[in-house]
Amino acid sequence: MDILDKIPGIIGYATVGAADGKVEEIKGSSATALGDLTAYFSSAGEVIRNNFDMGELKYISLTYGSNRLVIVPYEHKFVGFEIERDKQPLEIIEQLTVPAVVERAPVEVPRNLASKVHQINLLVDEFGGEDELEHWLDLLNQSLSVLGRDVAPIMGVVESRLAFKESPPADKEDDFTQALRYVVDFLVKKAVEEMGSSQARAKVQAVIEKMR
Amino acid sequence: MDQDALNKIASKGLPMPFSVDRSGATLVADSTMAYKEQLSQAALVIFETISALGEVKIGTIEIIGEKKGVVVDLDAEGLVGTIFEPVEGRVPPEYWNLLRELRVKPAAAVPSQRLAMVDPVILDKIKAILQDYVGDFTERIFQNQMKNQGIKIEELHNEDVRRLILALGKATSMIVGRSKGRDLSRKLIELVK
Repeated sequence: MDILDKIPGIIGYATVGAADGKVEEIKGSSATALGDLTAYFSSAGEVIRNNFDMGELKYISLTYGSNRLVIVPYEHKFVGFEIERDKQPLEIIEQLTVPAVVERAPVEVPRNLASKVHQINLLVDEFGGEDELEHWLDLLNQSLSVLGRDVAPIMGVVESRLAFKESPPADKEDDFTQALRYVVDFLVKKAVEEMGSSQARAKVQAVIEKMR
Repeated sequence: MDQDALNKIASKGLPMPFSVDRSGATLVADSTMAYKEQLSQAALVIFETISALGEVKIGTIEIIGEKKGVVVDLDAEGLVGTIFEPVEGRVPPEYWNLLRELRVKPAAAVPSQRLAMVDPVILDKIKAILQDYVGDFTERIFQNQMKNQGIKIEELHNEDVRRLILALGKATSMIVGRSKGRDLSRKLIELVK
């Protein structure tokens, strides 16, 4: 389901086996228990669909707080993806079902934001190396989930790199800069905690060198 | 609410309205009568699913099939909803306003426990405790969770504070680890006991 990583607006997603209801995959930076929500509500939705003879299931949508979970049947799975509450489920479902046809506008990112994203990717590479990269990508997702609320719908980890999935709105540039600063702070603090201050400092220094 | 209210809202454009309270009492409009039994069962499935999930406060549910759709709006007392025939898989936006109309209670209605207001001072106390765990990230995490949970300071209820505490505990776990997150939750829960 890597296509979901690239669709703007998706904060996180989970896939659940249609036959056994088992959670197969959870990805992205959602702070919600997407696996459980998708598993429970896909099952409840199927019961209700049969009960009312509703025909083929198109989607189930739940709202909670400021977000929305949309569950769709996809091949032999249910996919539950989280978007902002105000977004229309069908906008995203259309992109999921005909991804090749969708022409997306080129992503334009202001230089300071592009630089911050580059810095974050370098930090993750430096802290994670070859063996711990997944762990640091998990930490990156966690920090986006907890600290980067503003950026989560349009940024995410795509093919192991933090990336913009669409151009950030011009009036939100300051919010995005601030959110990314928090993510950098978090990663550096985590590095100090996990590898000690001298090793963390050396790695941060290596990143500064690479950015020159 | 009574059947008249449901029939009235049906005449305004909500095709097959219904309401089910948490005890299972089911009311339907005349247009919905054929589905009364299925609606009681569907509501039971929804209430049990939500209860199994615990901490997530679900506001609305849409289940859209090829031939029919069901939408419901939930609160602490139960749910109101409608069955309809979706056009191109869409829920007509006016349905939500009509469902909200069904929620309007007579002025003399007795406030439920859900409506008990809480002094917002508790939020400062929560922030002070949170500060000990996440330091510089306090304001950011606090504001993000307030937004995520859709909590408004001017309408702060007991249930909102409990939900915020759960969310902060979870968010803090991601930042400083599970044991500290649990420790924070324990301290915050003391505030609302």
